[in-house]
Amino acid sequence: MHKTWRASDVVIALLLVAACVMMYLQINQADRNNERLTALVKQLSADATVAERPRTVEQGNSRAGETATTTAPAATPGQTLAEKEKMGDWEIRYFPAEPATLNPLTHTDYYATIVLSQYLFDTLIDMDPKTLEWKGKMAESWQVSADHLTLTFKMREGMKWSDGEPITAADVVFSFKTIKDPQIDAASLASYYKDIESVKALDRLTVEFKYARPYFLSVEFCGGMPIIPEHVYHYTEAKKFNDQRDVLVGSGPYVFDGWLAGEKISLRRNEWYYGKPSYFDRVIFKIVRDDTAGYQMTRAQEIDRYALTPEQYIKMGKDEKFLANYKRLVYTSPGSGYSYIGWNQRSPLFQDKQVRQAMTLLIPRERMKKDLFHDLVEVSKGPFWPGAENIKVPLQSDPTIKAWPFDPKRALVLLNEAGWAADGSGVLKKDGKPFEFKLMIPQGSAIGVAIATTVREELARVGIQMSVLELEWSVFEGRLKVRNYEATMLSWGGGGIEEDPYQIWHSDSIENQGSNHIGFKNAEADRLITAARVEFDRAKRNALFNQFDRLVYEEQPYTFMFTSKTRAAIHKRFEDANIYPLGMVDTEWWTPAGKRLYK
Amino acid sequence: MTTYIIKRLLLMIPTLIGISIVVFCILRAAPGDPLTLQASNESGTVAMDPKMRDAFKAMRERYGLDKPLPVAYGSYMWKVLHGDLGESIIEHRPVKDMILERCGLTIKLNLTSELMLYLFAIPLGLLAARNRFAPPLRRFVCDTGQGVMLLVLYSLPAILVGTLLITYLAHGGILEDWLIEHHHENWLWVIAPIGAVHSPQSDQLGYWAYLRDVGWHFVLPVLTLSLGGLAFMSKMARASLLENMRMDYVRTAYAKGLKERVVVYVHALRNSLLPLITMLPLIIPGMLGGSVIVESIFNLPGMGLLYWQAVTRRDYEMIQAEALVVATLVLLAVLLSDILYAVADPRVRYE
Repeated sequence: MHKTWRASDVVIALLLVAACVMMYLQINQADRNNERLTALVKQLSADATVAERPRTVEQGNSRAGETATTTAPAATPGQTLAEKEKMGDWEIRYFPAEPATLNPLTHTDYYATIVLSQYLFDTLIDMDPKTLEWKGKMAESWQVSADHLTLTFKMREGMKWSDGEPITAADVVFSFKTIKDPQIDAASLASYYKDIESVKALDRLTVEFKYARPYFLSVEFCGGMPIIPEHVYHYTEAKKFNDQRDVLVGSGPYVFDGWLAGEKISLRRNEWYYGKPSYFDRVIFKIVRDDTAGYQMTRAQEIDRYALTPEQYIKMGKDEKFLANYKRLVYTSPGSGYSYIGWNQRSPLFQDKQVRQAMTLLIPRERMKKDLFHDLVEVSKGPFWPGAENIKVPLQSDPTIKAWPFDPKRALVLLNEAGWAADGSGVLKKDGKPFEFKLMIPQGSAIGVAIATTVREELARVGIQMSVLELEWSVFEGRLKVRNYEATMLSWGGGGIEEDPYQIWHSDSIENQGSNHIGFKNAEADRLITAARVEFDRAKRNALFNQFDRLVYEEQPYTFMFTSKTRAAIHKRFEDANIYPLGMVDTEWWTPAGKRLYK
Repeated sequence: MTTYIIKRLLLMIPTLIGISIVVFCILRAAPGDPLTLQASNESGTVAMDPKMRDAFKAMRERYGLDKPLPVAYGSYMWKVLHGDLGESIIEHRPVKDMILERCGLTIKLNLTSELMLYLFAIPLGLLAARNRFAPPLRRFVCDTGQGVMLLVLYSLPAILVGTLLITYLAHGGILEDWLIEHHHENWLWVIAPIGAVHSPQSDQLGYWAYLRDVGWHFVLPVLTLSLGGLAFMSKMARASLLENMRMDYVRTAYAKGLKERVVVYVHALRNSLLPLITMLPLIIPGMLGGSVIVESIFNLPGMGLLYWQAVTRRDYEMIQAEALVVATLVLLAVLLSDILYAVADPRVRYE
């Protein structure tokens, strides 16, 4: 017996390790084959027999990667041969972050919203992306009573959930009850439906919403309410519902097909879909957190639709190999929100309208648009979406308004009128006090710092001293809540074709940590908002909103900064990839047979 | 020895409790909690809406975020002692499942990196040590020059190395373009794919093709993770070998007429590997830290990525559980290194 290791011992040890590794790999491989086989058997048995019962909420989440069972209906109605030939291929989309949950009611993030509302669930009505008119989706027709308090939706005959069960008015009632259940984590969704008194199923396919008070967005809110199947989502314990992260059964053109944590979410075509079937066999959402990796994977044709950063947009333009396979698009769409500098009206500096106007005149937004954003944003002129070409419906924003120019001379005149005058050293002073303030911005955005720096330089030229206060988001938010700032740069996300300005601009929203954090208080603005909210004629209502838009333009409580544009790289093999006023509609795209990449 | 190990294992308990208290307090002291941060996703509109405040208050109560610190810590520890690591507030799933789901990838990544590290570091160190007294040019190439190169690599942050590797070597990168442009299509296999653990349609591949696919996705992350340690390890191997070469037993070996090859590779090398063996577990903590960065650059859904995500979302129980798991791994690694020391060197004894 020797006590030390010899070369032969080492060799034996290495061989042992190698054997273990091979065994592990072999087991792994057997697992893979087994899984493939089980999936195949499942598919076959599902095809052969009657619909297998789907999982319900009570049974909980699937394990990662596990796929839901599939059952095919006898035939898909309304499908011509030409349509059938368009079917095939996959679309690979990308998310820069993973959704926390895909629960159709409790989700809060943007990415979950895309998957759920564009692919997995239909609503009663939706907006035509071309004309921006509301049109029936699950609802055949709808009526609003003369007092605007009762809305009745008549649903289509023969609609099925993705498990083959019929979609009925009872599901709508169940969905509403679930949203309003205080035990369900759907607080953000429930805030839209606080004014609804009751939802009743009048018959199997008719549902009636009753409002407590008339509201101009009631059709949009009721018609856009997420609807979930009662037979799957019924729950006895709210926790079971809240914990449900996967989508069990849906009503949209696609169904949920698995979620590999941290990697991808897969969808496949809903064979039970009542509407026009979608063309792609599968849609995959890859989760790629790193910009460089995402750009490169797109360039290597591993991602079909990618959102470019401004730098990447420029870079792509010079990259012939990339442009050979991909279209580079930039377009505006509602819902991109706007950034702004809010002037806190509690600060004595910004109570004067002329000072606020002067501030806007001193900020070179056009120049920043070019230098900092490579012309990939629009200068924003007000709180509403400015519209796009060829839109016939009346819009909230006043089309006659042009964004304030950059004009330091006029700004100085206005400042002088307001009592601010330059002393010998060039510092603006009023009653002996110099014009100085802090601009509070959230930490972590390089472009935010660049904007703030430019603003500081321009203001310094006329003798205003501004310093930049960069704060971590939660600290920032805390100060915003107690209104402890003089000016702040922030943005409002979302927005749509028609928005309710009440939350941000009405004086009721000043107190109780409301969203009117700058404390904008204007009797005329309040009157216009209140009147427009109960005006049901679209043209008349938007005339009121136009008036409100002009008033905000005149008052400049915010200096409206930029509205971002959508920048996308889209694979060239897709047909019908049109840009509509509402954006792009992926579910219309298809690939000609010869160009398909996936099978 | 057994008593020593038991003693060390028991000592881990108070250490872990201490760590959990520190992590717990730091987390609660940091601004923002999981619910408000979640609400701020939509530009703060929800959180700032007064109607929402009551709803959030109810949610805060439901998830126990309103409890005073000692109570919250007590109930958390109670759960942990009963084998329940808690539940992610954001994802509504047991933390244990999430960690189990992801730790496999991180373990594979780190073990492969460590293996690669040793495979390359020891020969490099050996090469350097053997050329310590060589003629100037040879010495420069094999020892000093190589050492400087490694030090440069050592000082490059993983995030930069990873990004450079992606831009030049990965699928869709500069090298691929060059190969295609100059018609070296038969060399295209060297291009490593990135961004996932395997290709989108890998389930249709055969056995070897699948292995190659998975392995090739690992090349660049492993390279990034092990490059930093390479300099450190090979310098250590070099120093250790040089030290042993000056020992009396080496001189004796020479004196009794053994060939140089035998002296170096059998006698000196074996002894000089001792410090390297004890380092084996000690690299693990550093690598776990490194995998946070590597996993997020290469988009690999492992534990590092999970940790980072949990921190940004202030997912309390997730962070606490991960901290506990990582702390346990580190403590075990240190213990293992001490034991290995005794196993490898009979002169070392623990009483």
